[in-house]
Amino acid sequence: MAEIILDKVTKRYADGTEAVHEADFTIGDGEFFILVGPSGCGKSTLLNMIVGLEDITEGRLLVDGKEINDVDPKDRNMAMVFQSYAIYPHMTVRENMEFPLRLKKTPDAEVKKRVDDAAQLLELEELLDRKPANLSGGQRQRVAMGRAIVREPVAFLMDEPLSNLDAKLRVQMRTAIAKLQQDLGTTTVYVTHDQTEAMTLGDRVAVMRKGHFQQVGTPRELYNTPANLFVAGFIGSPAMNLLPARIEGEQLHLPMVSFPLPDEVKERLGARRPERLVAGIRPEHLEDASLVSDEQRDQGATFSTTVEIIEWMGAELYVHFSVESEDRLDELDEIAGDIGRVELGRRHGLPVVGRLDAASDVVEGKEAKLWLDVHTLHLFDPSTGENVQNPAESHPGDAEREPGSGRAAVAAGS
Amino acid sequence: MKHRSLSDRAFWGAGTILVVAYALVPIGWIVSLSLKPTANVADHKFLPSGATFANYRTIFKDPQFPAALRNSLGIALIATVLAVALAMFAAYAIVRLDFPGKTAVLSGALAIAMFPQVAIIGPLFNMWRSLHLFDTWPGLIIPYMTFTLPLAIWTLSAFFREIPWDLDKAARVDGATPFQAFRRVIAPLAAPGVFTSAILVFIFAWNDFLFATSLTSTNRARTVPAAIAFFTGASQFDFPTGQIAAASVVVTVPIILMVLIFQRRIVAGLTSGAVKG
Repeated sequence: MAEIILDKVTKRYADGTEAVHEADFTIGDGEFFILVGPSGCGKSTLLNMIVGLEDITEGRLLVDGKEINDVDPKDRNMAMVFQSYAIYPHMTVRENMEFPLRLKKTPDAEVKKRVDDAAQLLELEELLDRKPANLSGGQRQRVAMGRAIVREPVAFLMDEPLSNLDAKLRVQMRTAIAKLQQDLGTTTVYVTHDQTEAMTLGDRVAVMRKGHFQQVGTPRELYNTPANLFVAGFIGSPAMNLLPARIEGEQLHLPMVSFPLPDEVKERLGARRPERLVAGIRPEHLEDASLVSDEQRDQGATFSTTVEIIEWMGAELYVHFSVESEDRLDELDEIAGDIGRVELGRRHGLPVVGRLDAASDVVEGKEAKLWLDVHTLHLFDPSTGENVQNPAESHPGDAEREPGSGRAAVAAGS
Repeated sequence: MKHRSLSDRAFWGAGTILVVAYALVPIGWIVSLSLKPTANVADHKFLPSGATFANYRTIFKDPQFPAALRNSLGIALIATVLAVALAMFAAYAIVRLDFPGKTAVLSGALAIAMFPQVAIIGPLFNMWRSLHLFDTWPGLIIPYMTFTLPLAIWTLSAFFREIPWDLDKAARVDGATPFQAFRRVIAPLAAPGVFTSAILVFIFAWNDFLFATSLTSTNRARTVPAAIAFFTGASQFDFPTGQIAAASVVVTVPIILMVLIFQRRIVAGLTSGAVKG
């Protein structure tokens, strides 16, 4: 059990490139903390710095108030689960799990008890005498978890532990890990590039891009109030629709529809009336106009469009359509590339996804009337990427340091 | 498994027989020679008529052959252990660490391996005499070790490179010192590489004739290949063909044993299961 404090932790290589820029937040005791970002954003480097496999160039790393920058990994008592599992192939499952305890010269009876307990917890009892070569991917993954658990470490560090499993097993193990972490109550730092894993597992999530922290917060905060374009586009599935927008007087122009600025948007904008903006619309904030009550319809904006593709998911419906726009937003292209979004049909305009009620009777290739909930609209400044509706984060310099405020709010979960 | 056609099987069968015969006929010839009585050595027959172990008895009665066998075994084993142990550390450092001059070390090792050994025999002879290493075990162990180290380093670094680095890291996080991680995780996994290079080093030291004749003069350190050259017949008119053949058979046995024992340890796929796939 431990509280991990990162005080402006930075990793800089000899050639000057910064892999991690001023990681500055506190991981609370017992918290399930997620580092998420596209590959190469520095999240694994940060994890390796916490566990001691990489040196910290600048800043301080504290566990329960003690600085451990120069403590050898073997003395940090942290357990790590690797993406490749890294279980020792020449040892049986039991020997693998015993290994950290043997190194600590734990008495035999204690070793046996702890290994048996962990094996029971992870349903590995029948596999204890097998060699890793005879195990399936999921079983190897559990052995790696078991080796971490037996040590009763101060923290679990997991580096994409599920990415080598097939989709179904991944979902199962995700639940298993969440439950295990809850039962053990051990501080956990979990690295992933999968935003679904981040959102479902984490008490709090830190979103990284190119070594910089974009936002640190609960999954709900990231989803409802993304600090910038990157977080907005990265978190959520299907991803947020990002469209160019203009404000003229009190009117907000989107490529498919124009409407008066909603009061809450005006309030947050204050006196500012930036001309060019990026509007972010979550797919669920679009709806089939015929399924919306009259008074609701008046609150939002209604427009017509030609539906290109419909994906019927059972409980809901994804409609894909595109909108034409003269405004080019190169910033959006860059972010789309970063989060690996494929913008199909780019030539024919900007693609938009709507998530409609399954009762909707829209037809592929036909005109459909859709309704947009204008009150939930996100607006971003295209030059800085910041969310212009969050006054607290509107200052560019603050955006990176903002996560530091998370220190005051040690999250629940312990 | 695919069913092979008849012509396919005939081709591979004939090929196998050819290769095996090519390798085994000379050995059979030597065995046959060693069993022939001295009078029959030149009878041009593959199977000896009136086989006898007289030649074997003769070489073991002569004090120089048992001494040479002892020297050969001792020198080759010590050279093997030293070379493999040093090569393990060197190869591990080369694979895992990033230090200046890493490529220089590797190419330097390669240069040593390619250096014509005969070129240093003269100077070495003089140096060894003034250092009192001439005609001693260390006098042979040092050159054997030196000339086999490059090969061992290259072989072992290839094996170490195959071992996922995550295993070192896992061991370190699990509470091992760097040396414990090496000894308990990496070294056992590199075992096939260790045995491969051990065999190569042992065979080099065992077979060497050049250093053995030049740097020894008595039974103190003379090894079998050199000792065989000093064999004499029962009388000065007798050429000791039978004894040489018998001695050759005797020195071949340890090599065959060594390869057979270690061959079982050189199992591919020892590291399978460490990581995904």
